[in-house]
Amino acid sequence: MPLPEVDAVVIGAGAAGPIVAKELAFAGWRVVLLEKGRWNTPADCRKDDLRNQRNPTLGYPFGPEEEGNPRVFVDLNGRERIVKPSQPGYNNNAFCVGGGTLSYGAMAWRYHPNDFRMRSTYAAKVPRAFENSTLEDWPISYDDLEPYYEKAEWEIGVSGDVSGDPFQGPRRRPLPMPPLPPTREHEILEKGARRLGLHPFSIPMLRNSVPYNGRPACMRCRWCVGFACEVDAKNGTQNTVIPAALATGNLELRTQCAVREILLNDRGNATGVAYFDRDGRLWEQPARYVVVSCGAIESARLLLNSRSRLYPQGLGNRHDWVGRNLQGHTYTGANGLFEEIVYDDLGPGASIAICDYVHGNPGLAGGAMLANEFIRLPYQFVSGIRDPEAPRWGRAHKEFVRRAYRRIIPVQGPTQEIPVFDSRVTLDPRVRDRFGIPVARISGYRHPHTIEISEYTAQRAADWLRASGAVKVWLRRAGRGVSGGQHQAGTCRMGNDPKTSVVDAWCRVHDTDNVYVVDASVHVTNGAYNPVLTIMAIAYRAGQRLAKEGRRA
Amino acid sequence: MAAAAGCARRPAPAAGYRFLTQAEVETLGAWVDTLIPPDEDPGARDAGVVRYIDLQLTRWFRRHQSEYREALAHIDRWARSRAGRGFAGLPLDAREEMLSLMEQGEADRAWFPDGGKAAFELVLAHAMQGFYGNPRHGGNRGYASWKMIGVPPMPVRGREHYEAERTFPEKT
Ligand SMILES: Cc1cc2nc3c(=O)[nH]c(=O)nc-3n(C[C@H](O)[C@H](O)[C@H](O)COP(=O)(O)OP(=O)(O)OC[C@H]3O[C@@H](n4cnc5c(N)ncnc54)[C@H](O)[C@@H]3O)c2cc1C
Ligand code: SF4
Repeated sequence: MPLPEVDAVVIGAGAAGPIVAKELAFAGWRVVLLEKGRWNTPADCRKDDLRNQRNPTLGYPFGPEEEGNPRVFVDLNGRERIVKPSQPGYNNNAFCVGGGTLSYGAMAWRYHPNDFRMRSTYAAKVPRAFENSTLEDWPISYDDLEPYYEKAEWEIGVSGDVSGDPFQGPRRRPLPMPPLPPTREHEILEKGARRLGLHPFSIPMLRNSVPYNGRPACMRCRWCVGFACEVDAKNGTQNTVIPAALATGNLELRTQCAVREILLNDRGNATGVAYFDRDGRLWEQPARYVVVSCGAIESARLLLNSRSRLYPQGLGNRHDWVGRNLQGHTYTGANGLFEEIVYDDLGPGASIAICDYVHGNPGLAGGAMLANEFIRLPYQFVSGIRDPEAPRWGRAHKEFVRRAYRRIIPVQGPTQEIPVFDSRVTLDPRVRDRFGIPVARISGYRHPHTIEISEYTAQRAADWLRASGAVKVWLRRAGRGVSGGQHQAGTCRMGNDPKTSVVDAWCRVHDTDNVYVVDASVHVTNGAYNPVLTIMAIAYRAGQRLAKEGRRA
Repeated sequence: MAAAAGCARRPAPAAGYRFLTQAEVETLGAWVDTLIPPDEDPGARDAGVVRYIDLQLTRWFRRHQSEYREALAHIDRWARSRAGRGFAGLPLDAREEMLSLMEQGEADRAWFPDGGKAAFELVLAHAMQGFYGNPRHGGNRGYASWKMIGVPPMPVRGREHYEAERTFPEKT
C-alpha cells in the first residue's frame, strides 16, 4: 500500500544511516528512517555473559532473531550450509536502533592517511599484495574526511588522548573529552612500550569520560563491549543523532520494518522502497531519494534484490561489483601471562594502543593498530583466552583459572586486509528469510598476504607483552576463511570508474540519480583500525552534500 | 510443550527438573563434577551446572536433547561394563580416566561410535558455560566461579552500589 511521498527514505538505523537522516532533517527534509530491529533503552542492557553481541551462546540480544533470518555460508572447501545468526559463518554485526553502535566497544579511530592510498603506497614496494587482489586507492583522501572526523568526534562524543600518537594524520582540534584514568594493565603496558621505544597513548573512545551531551560519565563496569550501557555513557547513533533528528519533527523512525527492495522506474531511478512491517504487512514508501545503510552484507543483499528491466542483475550491479570485496579485519595478537595481578576490574578494559605498526613494516603492505583487550568475562576467558597448554578441565583446569584469570593481558589488533574480488556476498538461489526474501550467501577467502601481515603484527604484540614483563606469551593467529563480521565492509566500493566500483566519491550509486549507499559497504579498503568513526565521517560528508545539492519536493 | 513433540515415550523428568530424569541428573552431575571438581571452591554440580543444562535443553539447546539422552545412558552402561558400577558411583580417578578416553576419541565404540569425542566436547562446553556464565541461567550459583577467580559479582545499577560491591576480598 503506498504511503505519502517523503523527501528521503533512509534504510538502516546503524552507524551511518541516522547521521545522514539527521543532516537531512536538520536541513528541513522530510525523512523516514526504516530499521529492521527494535528500539532498546538503557534498561534493556541485560548484562548477560552468555547472551550478548559478542558471545551468542544463548543468542543475540540486539539482533537478529535466531529464527527466520538465515544466511548461507560457503567454506574454504566449497561446502555450503544454512546458518542461523548465532552459528559460525553468519558474520553478524547487529540489527537494532543504533546497529552496532548500541553495543560496540566504541573505539573511535581515524584511519591513517596511507589507508586511503594503499596502491600508491605499496604497488612498487610490495607487488605480491596486488596479485589476485583488488587493493586500490580511495577516490577521496584523509584530508577530504578530516573535517567530518572532527564533526563525528564532537557531535557523537569521543574521549581519549591521541596527542602521543606521532603516526596519525593532521587534525585541527583535539578530542572533546579527556581519557578515563588508566587501568593497571595500561600502566604495565605503557612501561613496556616505552622500553621498546614505541609510542603508547590512550585509545579514542565514543564513551563519556565526563558528562557530555546531557548524559553521564562511564561508571567503568565489566560488561561493556557486546552490551548496551545502563547509564547511557556509551555514545552511539541511538542516543545522539537519532533523538536530535526526531526533535526536529522532520524525521519519522519506523522500527521492526524490513525493506524488501528499492523500487525503480524505467529510467533506472528509485521511486521509493517496499518494506514489511512488524506484522508482516507489505508497504510502499515513495521517496525522492533512497539512502541505503544496512551494513555491508545486507546493503549488498538489498541492491541485489532490487531488480528492474535496466538492472536485471541488481541495482548498481551492471559490472558485477555489488557484493564483491567483502572484508573485515584479521584480528591477531598475543596473550601474556604475568607474575603479578594485572586485572583491576575497571571497565571498559581496552585503554592503551600503539600505532607504530600500522604502516612501514618491512616488506609488508600494511599492518595494524595494537591495543589491549576489553575485559575478558570469565566464560570468554576459559573458552578462548586461556593458555593452550593449560588443561581444559579437571582439578588442574580449576587451579589454572584461579591463578591466571587476573594475570593475563591480551594485546591484539585489526590487521588491514588485502581485498579479494572473490570474497563476496551473493543471493542464495534457494534460501529465503521469514518474509520470503532471498538471503545473503557469503563465500571467499583471505588473501595470503593478509595472513602474512597478521603474523607479523601478532609477533609485535608478543614483543610488547614480553617487554612489559609477561613470563609466558602465546599467539593468537589468523584463520584463512572469508572475513566480515562486526567490521564488515567493502561490498559497494567507492570509485571514480563505474566499471570498477559501485558508488561515486559522494556515495551515489553510479547508474542512478537518487540512490546512495553510505555505510561501511563503500570502503575501498578497511584501514588498520576499527572502522566506525570512518563510517560516521563518510556519512556526515555524504549527508551534508545531499542536504545541500539534493532537490526536495 | 513442543519439546516433547515426536517423543511420546518421553520419560518423566526428576522433581524440580524440566527434561532430565533422576538417573540422568545423577550421571550428569558426576560428569560435570569430573570436569570441574569441588575443592576449596564449589564444583560444577554444586554450582548448578546440571540445572543450567537441564533448563537450556528445553530452550536454546533443544536440538541436543537426544544427544544428552543417549550419551548419559551410554556412559553409564560403559561404566558398568568396565567397573561393574554406574558412572555416578565411580570415584573421581576412574571418572577422569573415562572422560580422558572420550576426549581422545578412545572410548568403547560399542557405546560411542566416534570414540566419545562429540559427547565429551558438548558436555565440556555446556559445563563451562554453566559454571562461568551468568547466574540468571541457573548455573554459577551464588557467583561460585566469580568468587573463585576473585571478581566481584554483578553490579546493581548505579555507581554507589557498584563501589560497595568492589569491596569483595581480593584473592591472590
Ligand atoms: C560487539 C561489537 C563491538 C564493536 N566494537 C567496535 C569498536 O570498538 N570500534 C569500531 O570502530 N567498531 C566496532 N564495532 C563495529 C561497528 O559497530 C560497525 O562497524 C558499525 O556499526 C557498522 O555500521 P553500518 O552503518 O555499516 O552498519 P550497522 O551498524 O550494522 O547498521 C545497519 C542497520 O541496518 C539495519 N538493516 C539491515 N537490513 C535492513 C533492511 N532490509 N531493512 C531495514 N533495516 C535493515 C540493521 O538492523 C542495522 O541496524 C563493533 C561491533 C560490535 C557488534
Ligand atoms: S564500561 Fe562504561 S560505557 Fe561501558 S557499559 Fe560500563 S558504564 Fe557504560
